[in-house]
Amino acid sequence: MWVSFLRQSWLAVASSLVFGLLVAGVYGGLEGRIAQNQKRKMAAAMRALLPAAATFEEVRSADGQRVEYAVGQANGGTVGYVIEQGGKGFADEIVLLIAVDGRLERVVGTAVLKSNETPGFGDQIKNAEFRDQFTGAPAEELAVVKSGDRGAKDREIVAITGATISSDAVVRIVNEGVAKLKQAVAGGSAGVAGR
Amino acid sequence: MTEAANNQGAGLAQFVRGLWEESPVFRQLIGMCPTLAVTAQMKPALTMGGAVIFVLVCSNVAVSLMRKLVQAHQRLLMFTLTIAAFVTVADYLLQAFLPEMSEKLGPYVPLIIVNCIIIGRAEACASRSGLWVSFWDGLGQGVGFTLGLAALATIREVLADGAWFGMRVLPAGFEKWNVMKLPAGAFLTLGILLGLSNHFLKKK
Amino acid sequence: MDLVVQLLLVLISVTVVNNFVLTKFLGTCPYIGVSRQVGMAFGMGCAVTFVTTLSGTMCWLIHHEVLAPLNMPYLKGISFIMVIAAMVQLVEMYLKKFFRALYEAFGIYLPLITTNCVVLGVCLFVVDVWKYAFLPGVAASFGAGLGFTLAICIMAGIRENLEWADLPAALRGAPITLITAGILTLAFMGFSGMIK
Repeated sequence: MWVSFLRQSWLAVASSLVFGLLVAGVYGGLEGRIAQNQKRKMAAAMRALLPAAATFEEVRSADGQRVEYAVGQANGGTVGYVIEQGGKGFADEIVLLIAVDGRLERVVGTAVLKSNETPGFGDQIKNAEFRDQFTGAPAEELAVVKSGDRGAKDREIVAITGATISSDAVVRIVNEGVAKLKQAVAGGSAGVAGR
Repeated sequence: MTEAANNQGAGLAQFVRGLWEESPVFRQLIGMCPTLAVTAQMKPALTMGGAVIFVLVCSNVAVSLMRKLVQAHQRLLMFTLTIAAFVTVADYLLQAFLPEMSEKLGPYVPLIIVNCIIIGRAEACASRSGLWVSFWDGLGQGVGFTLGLAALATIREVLADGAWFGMRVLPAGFEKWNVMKLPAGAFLTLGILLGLSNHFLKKK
Repeated sequence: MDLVVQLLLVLISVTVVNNFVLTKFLGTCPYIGVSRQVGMAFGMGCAVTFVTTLSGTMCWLIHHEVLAPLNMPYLKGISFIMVIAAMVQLVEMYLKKFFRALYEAFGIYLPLITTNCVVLGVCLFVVDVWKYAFLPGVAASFGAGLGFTLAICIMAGIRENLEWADLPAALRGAPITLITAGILTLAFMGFSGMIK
């Protein structure tokens, strides 16, 4: 009985081993590079938001597991802060990168890291026309309005026509991110890791 | 020497067949899931095509090498295992060397495992043919599939973005056909393309 | 109560709003191939739902209890598809023993559920993209199958009527089915944003 079982399954077992090793090997070999790609992407995004910063330092949570936010520094001074914040959009999750100035007074800019909104409608949250409204806006509770002056750097963000829910979501996420950032910075850094 | 030459001949014939006569997209109508999902633009379409070519060729070759050892009732299991392994390798290669494309294609890369084309070729060709023929078959079907993806992607990207490969192709005044970016546009385009290809082939 | 509401929302979201066939293009092959009659389509849908629910649950468990703790994410693809193949075998054996007529009616389409993109798709989406907890993951798996059944039955109903329409020869079969699918997708877009 054992022999028949072996005869039936030897190829499956042997090739599972071979393929398993192949896949493990490829993963092991490429793992470093993949992690590097992730880091590079995040660094590039942060640099685009805070061009004045020469270096970024990550501030981790108390247990060291998550990165709470990053501090952008240049010439020994703090240029600004960057925080990643996600939330539910119209179609799927939206993840934003929010940059705030060194005194936590104004939002310096936002970038959309991940979104899956409807092309032509909610997708416009990636466009400069919408995102520029956040540049220079006060780092306080922002509100969405249906119409208004897009150029005014105030607490009102004009929604995208036909994409109210997406616009709402972005503003909500920015508010959450800024609030969390203020709290974290005020609470003092639990630990600082160089980048 | 003659047998090798014969094999080469048979192999090349198999390659050419995959390009149109047995085109996976237009004639066999298989592997449609990625065809519809990644063809909103040319770049992801070609990346997907490349990945499928890689997996097809590797899996065809592997299956062909194993064909004398595999028992009849284990076929599907063995094919699936082989394909899954190569897809995983392809996925990591993409993540390491083409990260933005890997992100754009997202979960559709691991889904190559269940792409009917690959398991279909393993069953129809690689499990009964020699190494060379299997290799060329894999290459031909893969290239045929990529051509199909490219055709669909060209139409969709030009109409949806006025661009091709990210380069502006149509004048700025062109009113973009947003529907082409949506799933609906993909279904409609493929349906119309199939109808057209049916019509013109009937004429022959 | 909160959990029940959450589960219901996940179910509706996956079945209708983010329907796997119409918004994610998964399961297109059987969608075009098996949707000629409503009866057959419904049967196929039920079998697929059964497989997705079982596989989704098993894959979630394997990922969270085995692969993640042992840090072997690279085995995900291989182990998931093996689980799915095993589940389909199980369904096949079960049907063969207890529902012989149904088994015969399915023919080759039963083992083909293994290559149905919806099944592997929902396993990957639940674990990688949506990162659901266990119960929402099970709900999502069930919802994916349900959504597939919904889409394929609607398509079968439409096709049954299309048989009587006067179509140009070139469009008959796959082309008109795809065009219909496109219009159906547009219709289902009306459900977007239902879940806030």
